[in-house]
Amino acid sequence: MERVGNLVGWQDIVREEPGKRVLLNGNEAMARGALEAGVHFVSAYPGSPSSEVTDVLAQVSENFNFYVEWSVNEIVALEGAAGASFAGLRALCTMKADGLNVAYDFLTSMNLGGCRGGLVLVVADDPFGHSSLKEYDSRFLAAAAWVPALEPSTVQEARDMVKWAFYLSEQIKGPVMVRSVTRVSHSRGIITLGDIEQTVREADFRPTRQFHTFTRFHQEVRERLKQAEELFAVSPFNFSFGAEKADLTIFTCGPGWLYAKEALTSLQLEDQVKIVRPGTPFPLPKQFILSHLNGAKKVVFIEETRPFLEEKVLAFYALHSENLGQIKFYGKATGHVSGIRGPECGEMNTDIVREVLIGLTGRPYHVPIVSLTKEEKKSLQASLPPRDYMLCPGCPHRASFWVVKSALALEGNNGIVTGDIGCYSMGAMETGFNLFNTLHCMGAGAGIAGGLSKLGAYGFKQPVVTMVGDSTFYHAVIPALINGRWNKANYLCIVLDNGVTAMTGHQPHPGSGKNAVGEEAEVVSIEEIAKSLGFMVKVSDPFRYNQAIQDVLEFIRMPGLKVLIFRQPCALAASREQKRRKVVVRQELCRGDACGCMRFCTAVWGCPANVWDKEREAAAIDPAICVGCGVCIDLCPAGAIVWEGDE
Amino acid sequence: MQTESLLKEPVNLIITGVGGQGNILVSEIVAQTGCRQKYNVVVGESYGLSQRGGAVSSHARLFRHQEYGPIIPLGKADIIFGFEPLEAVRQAVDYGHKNSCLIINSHPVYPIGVRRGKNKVPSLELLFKKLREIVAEVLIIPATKLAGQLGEAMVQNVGMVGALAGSGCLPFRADSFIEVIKKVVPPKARALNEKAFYLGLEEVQKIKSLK
Amino acid sequence: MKVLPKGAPQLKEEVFGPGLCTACGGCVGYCPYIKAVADRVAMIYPCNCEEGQCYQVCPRTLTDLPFLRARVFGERALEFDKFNQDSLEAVLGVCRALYFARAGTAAGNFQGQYGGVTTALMRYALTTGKIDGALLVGGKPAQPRPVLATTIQQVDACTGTKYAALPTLSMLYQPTQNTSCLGIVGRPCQVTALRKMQQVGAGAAGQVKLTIGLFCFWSLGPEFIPWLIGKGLGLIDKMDITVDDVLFKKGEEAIRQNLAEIRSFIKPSCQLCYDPVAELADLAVGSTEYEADWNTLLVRSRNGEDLVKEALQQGILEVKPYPKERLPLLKQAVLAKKQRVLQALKAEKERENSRVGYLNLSPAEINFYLKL
Repeated sequence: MERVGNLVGWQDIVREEPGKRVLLNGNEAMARGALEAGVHFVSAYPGSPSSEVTDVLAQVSENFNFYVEWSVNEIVALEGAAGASFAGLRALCTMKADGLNVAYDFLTSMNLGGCRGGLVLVVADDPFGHSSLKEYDSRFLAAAAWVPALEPSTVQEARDMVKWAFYLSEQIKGPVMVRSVTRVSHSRGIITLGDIEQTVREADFRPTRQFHTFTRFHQEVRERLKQAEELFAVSPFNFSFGAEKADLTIFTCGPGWLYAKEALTSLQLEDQVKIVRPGTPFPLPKQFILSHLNGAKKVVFIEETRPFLEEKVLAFYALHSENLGQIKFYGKATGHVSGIRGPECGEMNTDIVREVLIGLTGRPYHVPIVSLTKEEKKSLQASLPPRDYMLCPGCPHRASFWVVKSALALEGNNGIVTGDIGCYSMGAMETGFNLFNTLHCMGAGAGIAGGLSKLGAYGFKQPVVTMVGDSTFYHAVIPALINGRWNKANYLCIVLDNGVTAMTGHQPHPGSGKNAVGEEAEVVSIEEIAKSLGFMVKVSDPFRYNQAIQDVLEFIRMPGLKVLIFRQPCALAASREQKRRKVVVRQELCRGDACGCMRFCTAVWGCPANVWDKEREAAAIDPAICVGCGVCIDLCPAGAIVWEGDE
Repeated sequence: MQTESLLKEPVNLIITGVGGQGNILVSEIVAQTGCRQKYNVVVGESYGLSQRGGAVSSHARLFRHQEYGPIIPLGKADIIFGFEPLEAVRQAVDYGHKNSCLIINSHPVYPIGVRRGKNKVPSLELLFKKLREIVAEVLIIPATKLAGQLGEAMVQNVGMVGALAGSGCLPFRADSFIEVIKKVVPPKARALNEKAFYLGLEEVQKIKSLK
Repeated sequence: MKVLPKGAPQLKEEVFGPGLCTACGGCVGYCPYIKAVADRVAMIYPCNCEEGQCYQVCPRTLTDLPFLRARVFGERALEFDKFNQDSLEAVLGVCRALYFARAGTAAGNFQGQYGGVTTALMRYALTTGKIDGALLVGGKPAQPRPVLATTIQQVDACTGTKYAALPTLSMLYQPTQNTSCLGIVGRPCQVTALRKMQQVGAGAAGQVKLTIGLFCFWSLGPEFIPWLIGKGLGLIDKMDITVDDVLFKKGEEAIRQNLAEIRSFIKPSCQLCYDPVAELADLAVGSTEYEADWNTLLVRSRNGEDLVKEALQQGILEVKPYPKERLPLLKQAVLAKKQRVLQALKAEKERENSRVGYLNLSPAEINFYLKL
């Protein structure tokens, strides 16, 4: 079975018949939802936890004959999808929460004029930041942009909502957002496959003045939202569970719904507590909410990331408190409900909900199973070392970081390194030798470097290096480079070119030579772009440590903005394609514990394939994971690490 | 214990290890097997940055009646299934209970702090001993070693699935797992994975017969 | 004298931090944390090795000169309490003979600096099998690189002084090296480092049987080469620093530059150098600052003496007496430097009465210089 991104079971989406129950993850389910809606055009920029929606659609596009592209960034993706919608086609655009910021300028503009064919925007938030640098709640952005939003709780609902979102979009003639979260996108569950709608349509763009952005359209958007609210008011996506009438009512959305339900069951509170589950957070259907506030004395909010639902419900209450009477509210904003890292952030789980319920009802919790005692947990925990992230075996970024660290030390003027977003964000961690001094969002490193390099008049003398990924280069770095060229910035931009968008599951990018559906594509050369902007450019191999250091030193010394490309394929991708040469340790040459290197290869270099042979007290290579990059051969000061056959 | 009914509702299983050990494949195998046996299944997974050598865990929940969320509550994991002993113990601390069954690959992958000498190397023997004193069942499987005998250390994960099948912790027969393994593993790797599966299965039966 | 175990953190604090690294290369290459590219040396990772060879071999960490002298020259020690103002050895160090010297008629055809003594001797040692490798600096002045020469051709390719301080000693840690008996040409700091390396058995230092130290009152830091390239002098073949200016030669073309500009590149560590005439070498060689095609040759060890005698017999070398009237000038230059450094070190920090700065000297030696 072919692997797609992180998925192995995706083929059931196309292999199985409608009516069949299949196990899918949330992203596969949303892909299926788009398929069932007969989507014509899909565009996206990858980002966890959203990537697999488009990963899967790219795989099946041939079977269903629709267009899929990985776009260079999120705003371009959304603009492309809007183009399809303007021509009357159904279009899907997917991104992670951070990407919504990139697409936001266009979204807020386009929403004014609206669109034609169903245009659905799937935004996957990452509460707790499992695979993101920040937690982010896109519902606030949906509201600020006046774009209706749906919020699934389960895998099945994820499919249902994406499918219905196309219908809604065409009804209101505006884009619709589906807000997923990690625990929906990256959960597996069973869904029943629905029929795939045959939406054979001719693309036709009629001359119109509709697709413009003018302030006068604001009132039209208001009308559109009213229409959406009317549809939401009767939508099965908004429902309640448990006691008909209850003092204590839980308002929840997203995965919180199942946690609330489980907590209720475990406390046997089903007939005393009501759960209200709105699946349409914006515009929140007012009558639905008011009807469930009616009679409640205490209201608890369970939702992921920020208190969006809570704020909306509180606003309704403020307007209708006379009729509703005294209600006490308990949520993230009030500080009663906290994520693992504290209030107003984070994801939910059953334990959090249960503790809140116990606090409010005093209901005892009878555990049918015997828990471990505190002492037992402590005794186990005491000897557990923490586990930090590590770059993969043979990862070229590790070599690049070591090269830059070495070069800056040799340069001797406390060089600053600004980082960027990708696997190489680990340059801010121990596995990346804590090299990065800044780390923010895609493209930020180059912009910051430009700013720093203009501070000479204020006594700033440190050399500045920015390290950006290849996909990041295309996505967001080019404007910063142009700005630097124009304004005479003075820094070194190192592009870490591993050939793919590695972090999110090896999606192709403009330099990969193929497109989303695997067709050959023109390589948009990084070096040609940089050269055409007038920069000094060189391609260097981070695996050739000494030469690469010299290249960095040489480039730092040159005045102005320079671009150095460190090119080596992603070790994960490369190891899937071919087995490289074997690396071995001549243990008789290894200085062992007496080495002045203090076990450099295992302790500092930190490639997981460099291991320590306890019995022989010497370094060794773990053949199971070594990808044969051979960099440690150059770095071992004793010459003990060699290619097999060179012993 | 190989009956086709769940011992409790839901059965909570944690699959854990470090990035790159094939967690996702195994959670797919377990979930698909459950699905084919007419169970409802939900699996919560973590990947993305966590896959880069960090701790990875999947929460799988099997049930027939009520629907459950993708995160197992603290102290409620019935089975902790670990490809890496330190991560298995870490999950046991948070999610284990006295009756949990732990199935653990004995081969450690030391975190960067240990490799850099910042953290002490824990004694696995001692950890396992403590575990045995605390929870109902601890099955230590030399899965990486067994897979090494097949010439491909990577298949330790499917070897571990064999151990899970043989442990009797889940009401699924070995064939049910094999059927799914055949489906989700590429054709050229099927024979190897099947061998690994049965090595793990035999190993766990050997351990159980000694008890 | 008791030496406390010190390592990388102290080396960083006492040497790299204050910019006192001489770029000798004695610590480069043994561990993966101290790296050199061309003439730059740096500690790239906060290695916390508490007892480090890097610290032990550095010529700017605690250096017990009397001990090292005794190790190299045996009974022929310097007795500062008995020296008077006129003693030659009091100023120049152990000295078996002092000549003006140049390559002899049998030395072969090559382009050395001044009289070509260094090249002639290294060539000879290599041809006669006294050594099977010579550690030299090759390349043009703007692209110098350490070379382990094992053939005459390779030696010839290294003629001429480079002035940039290159960490050639790092070559002694190259795991692939295939030699057993080495000759080395180095700056005085490198000779000191080499002796310290030999003491702790570092790398292939034990293989070094012939040490030719160059007179060196200062060398140039890493900013020099970029400056050269900036001046369009990246491709010059030879350079020479004279009393008043710097001469760059490119083929037949000669370019002169102001010395003052070059002086700004002098390494800070040179200001604290107590040893401009390579006290611990077998032979020390310098310019004469008098006759352009002769060198000053100072014979220090018995080993060096034997080689010079043989070379004279074979016509490899030719010598003439050191001119009497030049001697005070040489002595004054060395003396002034030693006094300046002692005073600077003393002012900086005085820890024990026999220790000034990084140097461990006998009280007699300190008194001898400071009271002159």
